[in-house]
Amino acid sequence: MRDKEGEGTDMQNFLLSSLTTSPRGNRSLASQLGYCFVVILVVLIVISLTITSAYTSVLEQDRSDALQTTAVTSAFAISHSALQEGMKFPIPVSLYMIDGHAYTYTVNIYTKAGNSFLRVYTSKPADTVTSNQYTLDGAGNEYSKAFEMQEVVVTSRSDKSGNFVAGVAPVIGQEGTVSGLVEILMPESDFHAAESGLSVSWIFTMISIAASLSIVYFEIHKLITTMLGKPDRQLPKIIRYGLSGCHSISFFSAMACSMPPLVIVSYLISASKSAELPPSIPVAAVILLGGFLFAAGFFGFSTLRMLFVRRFTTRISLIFSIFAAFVLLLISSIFSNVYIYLLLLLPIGFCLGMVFYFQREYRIYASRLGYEEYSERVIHNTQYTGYLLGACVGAIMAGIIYERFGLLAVSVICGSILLIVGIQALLFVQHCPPSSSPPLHLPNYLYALVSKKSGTFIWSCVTTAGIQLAFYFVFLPFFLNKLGFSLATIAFYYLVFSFVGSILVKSLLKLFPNRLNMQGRILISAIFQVSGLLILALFPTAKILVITVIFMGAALGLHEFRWLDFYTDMIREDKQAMAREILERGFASGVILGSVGYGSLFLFDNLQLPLLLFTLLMAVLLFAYPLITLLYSPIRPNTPPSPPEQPYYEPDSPFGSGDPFTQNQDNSNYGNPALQQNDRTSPPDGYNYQGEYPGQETPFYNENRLYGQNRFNTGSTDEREGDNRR
Amino acid sequence: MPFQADQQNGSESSSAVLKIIVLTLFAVVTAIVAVSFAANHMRVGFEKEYRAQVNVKTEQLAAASSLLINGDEITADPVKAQTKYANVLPAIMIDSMEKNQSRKLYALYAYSGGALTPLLKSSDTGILAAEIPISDWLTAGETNPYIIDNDGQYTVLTPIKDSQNKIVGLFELSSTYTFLNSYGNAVERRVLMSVLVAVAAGISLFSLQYLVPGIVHIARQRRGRY
Repeated sequence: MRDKEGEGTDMQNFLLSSLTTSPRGNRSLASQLGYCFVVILVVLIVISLTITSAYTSVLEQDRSDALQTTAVTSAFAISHSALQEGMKFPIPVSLYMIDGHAYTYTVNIYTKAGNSFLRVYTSKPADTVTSNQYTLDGAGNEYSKAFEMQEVVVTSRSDKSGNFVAGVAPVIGQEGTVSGLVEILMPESDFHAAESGLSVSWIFTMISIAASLSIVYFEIHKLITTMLGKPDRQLPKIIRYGLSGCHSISFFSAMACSMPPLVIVSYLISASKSAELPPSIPVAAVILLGGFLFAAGFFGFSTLRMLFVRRFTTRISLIFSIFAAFVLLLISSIFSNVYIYLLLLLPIGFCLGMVFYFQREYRIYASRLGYEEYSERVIHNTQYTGYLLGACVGAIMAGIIYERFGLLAVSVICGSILLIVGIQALLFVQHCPPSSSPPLHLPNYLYALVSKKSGTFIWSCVTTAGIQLAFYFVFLPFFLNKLGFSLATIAFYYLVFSFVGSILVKSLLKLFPNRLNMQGRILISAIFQVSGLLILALFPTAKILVITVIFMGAALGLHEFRWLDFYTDMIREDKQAMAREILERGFASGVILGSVGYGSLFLFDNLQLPLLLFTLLMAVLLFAYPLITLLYSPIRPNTPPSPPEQPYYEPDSPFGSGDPFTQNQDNSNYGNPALQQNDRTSPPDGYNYQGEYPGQETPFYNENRLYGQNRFNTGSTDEREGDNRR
Repeated sequence: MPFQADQQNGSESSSAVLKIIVLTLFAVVTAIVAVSFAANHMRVGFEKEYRAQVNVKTEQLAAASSLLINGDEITADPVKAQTKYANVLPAIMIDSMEKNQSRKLYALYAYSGGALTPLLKSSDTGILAAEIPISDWLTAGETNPYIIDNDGQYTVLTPIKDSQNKIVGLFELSSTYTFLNSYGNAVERRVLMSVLVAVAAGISLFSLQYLVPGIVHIARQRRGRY
């Protein structure tokens, strides 16, 4: 009894407390997000149902009209002729259109037989009709009315073969009186069908819209909270606003930068349809060119970027690039000329690429400050999460705004978001000197590529990851456009990719830590990527694309940004300073090659065969590194040692001889950084990196990663505030 | 110290107000934009589907009607043919305007000496065959219908032949769907109005969880005072 009383009081208290205390903090934010998602989804579903209902009735009216007119023309065609078994229908049976396919009506001709009607002709194939006499069953009074009152009616009836809607018209016989009926049938499902109604793809698009708008609501909330919050003045300037600031910048920059490339395909296809392009040039070739120009601008010209950043500082370069991008975007959309648009894609890509280059510089500088919570991998993971969420929202925004308001609106919104990024960068990143990495010359890069293991690693793992990025920005928009889907539907695939790569795979890796070394991850990643592409090549449909994206998400989520560490451990110490640039260039080459590769698939009418060949090529690339590691696996007991590889000797190398990119590759602890640490050798004296230019001072910050050790903790307030010497 | 605390409270409440204003504005604008997109996307899809359906229907009806028109009758006695088809064609072209928004326009011409002579037409406007140079498309061996796809009207011109397989006439059939634009605008406007009401109601309902505790608090204070 007391328990019951207690429960009652608890319930009362709970209700009272719910009424008297408003939700705060995370609870409040969660309720806002939930409400935002549910309200948008419900509103979208309701209006979709309303519009479907409104337009389906219009379609049905027209189908009803078509049934009537077809019945009348058929009745005229056989008027004044004898209605009897074995008669021929004098005109071709009419067609109707459902879901883009043409179907024929079924024509039946009846004569009056007592209280019913006897069928004397049907357009159904002979093998589907029984030879017995067929009398009209399941027909209502409408048939009698049509016969007796000489009216044309549209009615529904059912028989053993299904439910139908019928247009019925009387036939005038030889005597000038009604001798029978003509019935034009179409299945009831066809009569009520609507191709543009509430399809599965549209439902997923609506879910993506609701999810993306909730995400952007959350990000704006986070941005305002970070902006209005108090920075930790004990920390150096660059990280005072914490990872929230870094996440916000990456989110909004990805949101803005994903919009222009996603609309390339839609814009060029619509330009081709409106005859802005010469008919002799296939639109796929123009899209290929557009994708290549944007990718080259976005990922190429790293030396020029470095020059800008060192000349004008990172923040000024960023602001300048943002303004330049905004102006170029406006020009390309205001003129609405396809040639100007194509011409400006390269500089637009370059300017947008600067936004990401800024974040690279931020990552490098912040990670070198020595704070464990701001290690490079932590910052990179934070930025990657921001990029993924930003790309999802950017895809929705691009789809919604382009389809509804056109290219100019996309440019204006993209530019506005870029301005927000600029403000964030000025506020959150108050100081960010450019990184002092050595320049990567082409011969060095080529040496790195041709190296047996480390080189194979670059083009097998890193370059292919770049190629797969092109899959999302070149292949997906084109493929979905070909299938007739909205551009906004891409966001659904991005969300699936993000969920699998960033949540599912990461959770599994956390649940089972240390189960997979890097080589295992690379092998599984290769298997996933090839499987995903293969099933898409065999069944190129939107449903199969979901499976492909799941595989891709799992494959690209496995590496967890360990490539740089892995690669750095693979090469000789004197070349480790170049490792980042080598991998970045490998990735950039992959994106540019991928944009060409994926773009060229659509030059062919049939997608399957080129995609199959492309998958084969990808399989060769992806499995190259796992095969190399198998072939050159560490020497095991009871196996004869493999002959030592003759290394390439650089004439002026202080090491005397040796391929700089194969130093550690025959190490038995290869791939295991903990054990490999013991085998490292320091470069000889006098061969340490001495700066990029002759006479340049040694970089202020130690290149070695010493996470958890604050090298600024010297008591000097100047250093705490950030190094302003550059 | 109390001054500092007041200042802090003031800045916190002003930042909260700013946050509420920005987020509310954002929610309203994005909801409207999203709904506008969805409504427009569906409208465009349905209009495309409707046009395709009407076009096929027009082609089929024009083909069937031209088979019912006897070319020999037009050659032999155009006046008699005119009288006959003035009764037949309206019966075939059921135009239930009160039910169906798509209207049908038709005309029948006699063709001789490279020129068209109108025999009958259903309307004075929207008939196109007389306005285009017929020699552009109507040749001796022409059997395929000529199609004019203007914005809001789909016209099919079908040659009519006599028993000698010689072109002696022309049947023109058009379907108009100009109503689609006004219909779509009306649907979109209604949907947007409903969304505005729904969003306003949604925000009001949502803010209740923040308003009710305040009201309860004030009520409790007053009860305590008395």
